[in-house]
Amino acid sequence: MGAHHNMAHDYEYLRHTLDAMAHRVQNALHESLQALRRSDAIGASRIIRDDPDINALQRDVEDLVARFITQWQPMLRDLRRVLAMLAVAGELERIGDYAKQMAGQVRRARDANLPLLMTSELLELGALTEHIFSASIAAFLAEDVVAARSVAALDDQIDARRHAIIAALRQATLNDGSLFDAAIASIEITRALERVADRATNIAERTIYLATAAHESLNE
Amino acid sequence: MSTIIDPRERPIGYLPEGADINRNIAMRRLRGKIWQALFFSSLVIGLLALGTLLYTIIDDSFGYIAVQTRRDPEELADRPLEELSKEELIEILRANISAGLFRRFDRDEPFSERSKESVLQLIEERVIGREVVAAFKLTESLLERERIEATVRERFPRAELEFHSWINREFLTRPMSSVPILAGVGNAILGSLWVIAITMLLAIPIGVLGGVYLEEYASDTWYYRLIETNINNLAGVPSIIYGLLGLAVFVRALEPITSGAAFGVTDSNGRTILSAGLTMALLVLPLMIINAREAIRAVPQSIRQASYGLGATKWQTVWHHVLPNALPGILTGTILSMSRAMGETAPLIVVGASTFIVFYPDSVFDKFTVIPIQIYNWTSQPGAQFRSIAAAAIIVLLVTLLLLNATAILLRNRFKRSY
Amino acid sequence: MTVAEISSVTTAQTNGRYAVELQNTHIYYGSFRAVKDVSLQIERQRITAFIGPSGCGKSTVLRAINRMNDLIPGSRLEGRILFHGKNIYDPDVDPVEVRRRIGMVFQKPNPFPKSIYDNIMFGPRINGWRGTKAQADELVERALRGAAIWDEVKDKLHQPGTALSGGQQQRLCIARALAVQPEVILMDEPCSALDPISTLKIEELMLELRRNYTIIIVTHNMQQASRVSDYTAFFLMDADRAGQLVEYGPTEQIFTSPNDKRTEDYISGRFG
Repeated sequence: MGAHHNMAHDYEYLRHTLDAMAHRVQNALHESLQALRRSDAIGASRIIRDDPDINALQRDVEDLVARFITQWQPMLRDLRRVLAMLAVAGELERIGDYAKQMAGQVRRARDANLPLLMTSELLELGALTEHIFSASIAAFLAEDVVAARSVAALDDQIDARRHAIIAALRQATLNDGSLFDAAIASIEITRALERVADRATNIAERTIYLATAAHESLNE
Repeated sequence: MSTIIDPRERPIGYLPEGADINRNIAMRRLRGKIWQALFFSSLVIGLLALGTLLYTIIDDSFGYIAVQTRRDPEELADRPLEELSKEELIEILRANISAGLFRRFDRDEPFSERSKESVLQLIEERVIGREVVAAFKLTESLLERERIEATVRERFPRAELEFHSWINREFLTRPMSSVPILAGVGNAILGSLWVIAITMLLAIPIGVLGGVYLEEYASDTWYYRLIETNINNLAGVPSIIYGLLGLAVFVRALEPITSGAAFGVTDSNGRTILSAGLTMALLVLPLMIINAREAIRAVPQSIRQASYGLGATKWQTVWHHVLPNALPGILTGTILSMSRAMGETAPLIVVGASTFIVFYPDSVFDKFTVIPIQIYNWTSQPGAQFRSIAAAAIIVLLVTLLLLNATAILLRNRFKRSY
Repeated sequence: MTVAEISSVTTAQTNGRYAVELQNTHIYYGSFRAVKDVSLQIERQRITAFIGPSGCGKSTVLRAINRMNDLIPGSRLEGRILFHGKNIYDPDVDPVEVRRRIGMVFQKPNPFPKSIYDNIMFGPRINGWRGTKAQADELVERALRGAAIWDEVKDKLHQPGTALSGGQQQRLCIARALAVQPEVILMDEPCSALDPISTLKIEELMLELRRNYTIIIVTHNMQQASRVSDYTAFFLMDADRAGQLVEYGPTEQIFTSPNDKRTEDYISGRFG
């Protein structure tokens, strides 16, 4: 409790914390893609090392939401908003985990002296995922229903690109069996990116629910 | 939330800080102490006044009297007089007073019809002639006994000195007499009770029912407000005005009824207990109505709502809830009105209370006297002994009022309810 | 025809869906219009909550339903309030009878300063109840059981009702209302003077009573309205300080996605 005892102030603080968490996650995602580009084991290790910070921020958000509900007994949109924030913090934590997984793949490939296959395609997929993620977070914080709906369209592109990469990798391993382990690592990375996009879509759905009180599935 | 006052803004005065706070508090406490002392001294003055009153009354009511008899009762008969028969007593009387006086007594009421006590009383008055020749106050009796004894020995050598309580059983039961030592307030007490009974019989129902109507039924219109204002004003009208009203209406205009002529009573005029009771009822009626309204208003609105909410009618609500819950308040007010009626003197003088009657009232059409009238009467008589019996009568009046108030408190506690 | 006749006929015949219907009701105190043009239908054997900021007329509307407003000098009603299809403001309807059929529980528990037993029996007695002592005992027990307070008071039926705790007093008042067998029970902020535990007990009791009675409750506690009621009516004062009905609908809808912006603002605590 500060000098400004009102609901808007407490909400602002909560939003600020969530925003900070989103920045950290966005950063982790970006850095993991940079590590992939440079095949940088040290950069990858830094991401893995910093992941607990993101988890701590999620717990902060949880505490703040619990306190907010206790103190203000929010109703309607106010209630949906803080509940959505709680859910979004969970999604962000998962996205952080996926960034960590990608970094893990990069580091493992480097340690095993494996080549990373189709890096440029992976980076394109990564850039698109980053875009979806930023768009959904921006839509959520702005409570912008139109922006949230447009995220869904991007999600379809992710799936298409991922399938293309997997098909290419399949062909490559059929031609040369020694590439199998390297192909697995790349597939893991596409999977992580696809999950990130899924989570970002969930965030967009939360945005629509918070604004309209209606559940709308964007993943179909 | 704390508001910081910016010193650059317009000055908003000075609040004490630091040592000033202590000085300020000490100052305020001192002021409080001075007021407290003032309150206390007012209380002391009140208590002193009350103490003085009680002291004067009690001082007058007890003390030595010097009694002297014309004849020693032992000279009249060889046995105590009380043991003699009525015939023997008549003989003693005949032997010791003049024949003319004896005949007069017989004419007033034939001896054959008189009771033994009545004859005994005549002997005591006319033959033995106990006479109080001097009376002393309580303080001098206690502190200056030797001086009193010396004075009495010197001035009344035959008199005997005895300690006398002017308030005693005979005083409470005996009727009036022109001889102070033989006088009593018996018929005045009875008169007071009769008058109060009639007053209350009329004032309680009319007052309470009128109060109920004004509180529960009357709407807030100009004519009811006019009535209310009038009732409040009537409560402040001097009591003697009520006396004049009673004189005009009950004693004069309604004489056939108040004298009992309409009911076959012949030897009376309008100056009766009934007139007095009616006048007193008028006097306390405004008080009763105001008080009943206060008591009714004090019944919480929530109780009424609960009753109506269950489908009770207005009358059921008033009867089952308003009146029972207002009862303690009504009773308290009733007793206070009763005390007022008990102590009123002026209107009864106007209505025509008798200052000297010796018989006991036994119907509402009798002439009457009441305790305050007796006090008033005796205090206007010369002589220390009248002062003493007046004081004794005041004690009787005070004790009666005290009993009434105690009853009020008991009744109120008995009926008190918590909400 | 009186309400009683109507009641015995129509309940059997139509078993209508609505216990009470307000049609274009305006309520005045003298020349001041306290409530403007309220129309709503109260469903039978459901709990309907009236919510709104202070002075919005919700209590006035509630009290109009059993003609308690009649007790306030100068109060007047235009429009109709139907109970079993009969306008209870028709000149041939006696408000005393309306109040017997539409009971009321007040904000502050107000047991009579009498024994618990007499508190319960007062209603039946003044309404012309006839029966034996054993039947009276039975009636008292049933009313107290109905208000879920029997077990707490069965050993002290002849002690004053005012000696009970606040929550118990309020349940005693509910039992007292049940004893005259009403069809509708109006509750005017029944928990506002109670602690949270007692409040929950009353709420449980209301949900229990819903099986046999129609309940209308005025409450300032939004959580309470959303917990117990099936329907919610939101009232608001308009520019000339007259209360009006803003929105009425199933509680779930009012508390998740109200149609009116003013309802949303009020429920979210933006004003009031």
